[in-house]
Amino acid sequence: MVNRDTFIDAYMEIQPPLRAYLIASIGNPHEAEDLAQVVWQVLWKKLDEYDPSRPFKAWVFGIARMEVLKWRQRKARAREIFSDETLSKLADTANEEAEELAIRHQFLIDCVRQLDERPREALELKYVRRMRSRNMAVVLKKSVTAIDMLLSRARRMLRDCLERKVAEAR
Amino acid sequence: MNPDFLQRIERYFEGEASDEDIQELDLILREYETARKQFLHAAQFESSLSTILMEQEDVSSPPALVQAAKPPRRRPRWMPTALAAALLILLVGTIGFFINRDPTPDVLRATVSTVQNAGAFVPGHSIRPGARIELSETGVLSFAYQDGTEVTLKKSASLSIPKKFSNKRLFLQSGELMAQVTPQPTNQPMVVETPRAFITVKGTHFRIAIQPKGELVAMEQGAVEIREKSSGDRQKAVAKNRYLIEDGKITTISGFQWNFLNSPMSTDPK
Repeated sequence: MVNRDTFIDAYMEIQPPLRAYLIASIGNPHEAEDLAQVVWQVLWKKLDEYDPSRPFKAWVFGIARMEVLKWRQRKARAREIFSDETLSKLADTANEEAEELAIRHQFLIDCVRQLDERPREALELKYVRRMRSRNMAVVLKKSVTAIDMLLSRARRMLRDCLERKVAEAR
Repeated sequence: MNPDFLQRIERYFEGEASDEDIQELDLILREYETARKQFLHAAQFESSLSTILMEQEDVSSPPALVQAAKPPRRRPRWMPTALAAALLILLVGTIGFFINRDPTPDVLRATVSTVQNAGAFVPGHSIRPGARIELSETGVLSFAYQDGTEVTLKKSASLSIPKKFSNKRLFLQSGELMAQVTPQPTNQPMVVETPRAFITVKGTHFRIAIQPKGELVAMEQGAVEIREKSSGDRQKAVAKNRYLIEDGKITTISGFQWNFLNSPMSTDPK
């Protein structure tokens, strides 16, 4: 029997790599979020079946993989998506990369804090308000091209900052 | 790395990938471990960026610019016909909607589980966005969300649940609140607003008491983020500590006590 409080702590730690795997498998952040909820519910229900002598991460990614495959079956007719084999291999790689992905998440928090106001505002409109460039152009009183450049520059700055921190940590 | 691959990744996460992009990505990801790692790093960047920006922003107050400005729209010629059709569909749909289902998303539905001197509230009573709960000095009320999150109120608690949010959102104006929060979606944390602060919760056990001097937050397990409204100061509140939120500052108080129903919460060190 696993203590459910301990499980919640462990789950919180594994959330960044798990979400990265889900969004990688699905592409759509909203559907990935919905699926993360489903995965959580399945984990919670099956917790009594978990054998603590087995690696926790592997168990979580195994269940996440199964839920992604179920999702794929439901969506297969609607649009082109990755094959079962690719989705399974992604789950294996996500499991192996879990620590790296969690570390990158922490580094990215620092990088976002260092952003200037303007690029940060543009990213918030895109990632939090889910606005498209056309609407952002009106809000920020800029052309669509200028918005796309601002977003592109902001993302590049963050990526450069992230990779620099990763390289420094090695 | 192949620039084509990078562009396909970008289109994939923008939701603009073609069938050919997906097929090509599928092939590369199936074959190459390094490609899978790079793809997962890109996915992590997208999901983490959204989460981090959401957490660092006050989601309760959209930027004034967003509220004020809306993109200009043209009215096409077919608009009147389409409007008439839409109205008809809306009328039929609305009737069916109210007959057949509750529009509240599952994640925001809660049910009263236990009560004590809680007036009209009885176990099984539905709690939805827009609800307001007012308790007497001796009143105690607990409600549970469908994901297992439990909230208990006492000590003349006054709580309202605003309507406009898609995440769990509570506004505690007075009294005491204890919550045992099931892990929430990273980009939709539960937020408890008090007169002086926003408390952002992903999943944890904690309690809040509104006192004349300020709000007192006690952490049982996990962590929450407290943001003081007037100064914008942020503090990560961690397990086994208490925090006093006054106008303009957040103070950590050593020690911890935890007996929500039977003992008052004070700022005295324990």
